[in-house]
Amino acid sequence: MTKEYTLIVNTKDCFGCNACEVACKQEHNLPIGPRLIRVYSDGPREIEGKPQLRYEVAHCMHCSQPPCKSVCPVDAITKREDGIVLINEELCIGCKDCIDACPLGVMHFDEKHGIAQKCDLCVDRIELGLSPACVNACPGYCIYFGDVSEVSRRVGKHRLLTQYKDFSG
Amino acid sequence: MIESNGEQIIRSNCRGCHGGCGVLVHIKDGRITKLEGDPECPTNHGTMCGKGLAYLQLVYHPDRVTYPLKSAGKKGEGKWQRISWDEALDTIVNKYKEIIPKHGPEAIVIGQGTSRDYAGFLYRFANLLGTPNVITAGHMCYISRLGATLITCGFMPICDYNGHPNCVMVWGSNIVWTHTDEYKAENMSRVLAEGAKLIVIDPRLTYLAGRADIWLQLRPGTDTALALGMANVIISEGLYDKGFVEKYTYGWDKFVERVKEYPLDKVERITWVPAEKIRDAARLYAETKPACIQWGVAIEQTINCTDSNRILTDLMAITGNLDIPGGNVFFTPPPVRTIGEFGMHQELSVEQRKKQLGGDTYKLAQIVALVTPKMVWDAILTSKPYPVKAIQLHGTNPVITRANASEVYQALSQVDFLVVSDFFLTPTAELADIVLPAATWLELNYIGSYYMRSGYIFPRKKIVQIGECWPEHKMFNELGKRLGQEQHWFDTVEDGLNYILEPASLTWEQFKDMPYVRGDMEYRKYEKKGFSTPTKKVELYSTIFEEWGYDPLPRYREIPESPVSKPEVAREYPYILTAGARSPVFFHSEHRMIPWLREIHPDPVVEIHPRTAEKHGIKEGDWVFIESPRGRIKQRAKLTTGIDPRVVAAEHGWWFPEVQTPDHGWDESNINIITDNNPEGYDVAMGSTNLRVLLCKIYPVEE
Repeated sequence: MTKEYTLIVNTKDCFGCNACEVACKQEHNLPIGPRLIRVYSDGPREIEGKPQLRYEVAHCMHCSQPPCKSVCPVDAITKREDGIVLINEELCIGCKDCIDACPLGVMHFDEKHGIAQKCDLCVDRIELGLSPACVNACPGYCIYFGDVSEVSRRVGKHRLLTQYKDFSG
Repeated sequence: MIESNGEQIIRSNCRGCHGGCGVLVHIKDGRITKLEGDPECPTNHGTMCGKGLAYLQLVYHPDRVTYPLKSAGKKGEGKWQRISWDEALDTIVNKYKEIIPKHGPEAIVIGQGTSRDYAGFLYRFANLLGTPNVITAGHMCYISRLGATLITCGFMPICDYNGHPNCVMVWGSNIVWTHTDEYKAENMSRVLAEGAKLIVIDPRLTYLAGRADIWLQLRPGTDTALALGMANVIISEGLYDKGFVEKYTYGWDKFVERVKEYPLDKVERITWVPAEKIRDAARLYAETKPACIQWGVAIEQTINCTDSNRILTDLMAITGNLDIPGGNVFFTPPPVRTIGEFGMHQELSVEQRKKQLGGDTYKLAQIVALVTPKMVWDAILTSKPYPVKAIQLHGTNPVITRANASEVYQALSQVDFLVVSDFFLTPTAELADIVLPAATWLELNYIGSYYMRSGYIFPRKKIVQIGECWPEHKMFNELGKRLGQEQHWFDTVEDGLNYILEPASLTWEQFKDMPYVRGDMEYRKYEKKGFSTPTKKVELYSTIFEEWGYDPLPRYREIPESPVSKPEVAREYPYILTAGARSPVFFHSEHRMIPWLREIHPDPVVEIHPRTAEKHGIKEGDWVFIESPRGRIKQRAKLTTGIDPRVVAAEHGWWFPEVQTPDHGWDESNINIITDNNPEGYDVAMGSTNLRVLLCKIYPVEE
């Protein structure tokens, strides 16, 4: 069965270091402007009975029924069998309808090429058997990547404790 | 070296901050295409921070200085002429040869910032030159911790995260954002993952403070009093390790007497932290085994520097947490030549050492070979106790990062001869007579983590050559040879590395292909050898300080400019400013020109409580003047309930590379325009400057 990839951030463990943002910029060689994954400060607010400072991380959820795809007048956006929602750069006409349609505000506009831009889950890396760049860089180990059927289950156990042998002891 | 898709991947070791993270460097057609964390490196397991990940934009930045320059106008005028390396080195050497017969080598000051890992080469050069005057950041960062711990227990105790601490007390450190040296953010992820108890001491609500079991929100600068109060609880409730105290500490009775001077009601008055919370934290730290203290630089940048470090070391000792798994330990260093030996401190004559500026006054600074910078500015501006004629600075931007920046600017503008080596024309470099183009960590061969006390060293490899940039190591090597030090220098820097690696029976050629070299770790070394102090014990009562005439026991000194010590000043400047809040994407004054990082953090930020802001008509995002008795600067308001309404927290390190005038807006948002470097506020033994805590007022910048 084909995998259906997704990416989940356990924001409880995110300490707002922005490494994911820079890893993404570098991987996709992005200019100033598009921030395909973006960290927002959340708080201070009361959590578990005490003041806490947390972070929210905005990124494409690769929705099962992507609004960006539905509004695209030229069918430039597809949802692949493996779950990844991609923009076909050849077809995109830069009308920005998808940017307006995205409820999460995580679609961007590439001014240089005049086309829409979004997280592609580092599809080139995935095809090489690697994790997306943001996942690898994250020192908080709070970004989880994998098949929809199992990734949310993994979030329950800190990635650091399962990923490396020398951390499990 | 791994090859795939015509791309080479070379393993190296980052130095985007103090560094130490393993990196995989991707190269195609001779150009670096990507940097990513090395999953096999034991210190970061593939994780990286934004600073390291953005380093490509620094290496290939269009504004890099890529060849030597000489000033072609008046100082600071921004007129430059390209010169050859030969001309640059000869100019420096000839100038020094002029100065030395007239004024002595002590009239030449050598300086660095946080050291881009060349301290050994720098000291070797300074010592052979015969100057005792080296300025670094060490008087109020790390080296001050090193000095204080050396005299207390003979080593600098490092939190042993791999040993699974069950309690971590994070003291004035935002380790998940910026701490390096021996520590990485990943270490703290591990603490959170394993569910260890967490105590955080911080005037600001950081992420870690929020996650902590106990967060002590203290009045800035009162850390020593708080720690003495905790020691009081631990002693009066009998929570200390009696066996360890009896066998391995010196001066217990006197220490107990001193600690009794800090009952919790008094400590609460000093620190603003409720007595009950101090008691809870002391109990949690003392009763959970093993426990470690993760300390940060904040506690070193006040008048209490040495005693903050001493009392925290004492807490580690009396709870039996020194050099045990999961406690604070001395990692056995790899068996290579030490930086101290390589630095040839023994070559500096006693006569020259005696001439160290401020040496008689700050004896702890003298033994770690440091000068507190104001002594140098004074010597330039007043010729007392003798004139300083030349300064050679490497990787440091003191007009931004040292206290009383206006005085620094004046001194560096007036000194006869200033050499600055750096990546960019910083506001400091703009004042130079000669600017040398420095190589980044991707352009040189060296030993990563060499100075650190993590027990590891990593090969850092030259990947590319940018313009005519040189590693600083090569600059010292070549200057040394031209100044008659030939017999002590090397044909190449790599020969110098061979000399460092020799005791490990390694050459650079062998080492560069190894993942790392690690010292053989052994815990509880004191059981066999005792502690490396005069009494062979942990000196709760310092016999060295006694001999030097300082207070042998730690005590709290009131911050020289606070509502308590200066109520009359506080009437006009009612808020306590804590300066130096960090951003995760900058390293001190570096990185403001890196697009990916500046986009994340475009402006300097001052944190203000919403109630305080309202009083002054300040709204979120407003530009705000922060004014002290010494001047004013502006930063952008961020309103947060995570700070006490009586406290304001501002960032440090700001200048604006995008400002095209040669001063690059050095005094607009630079926190050190308003800090003070009056020696009254210095740590008595170390000469640490008060960079952290002062009084201020705030008001909106009217458009």
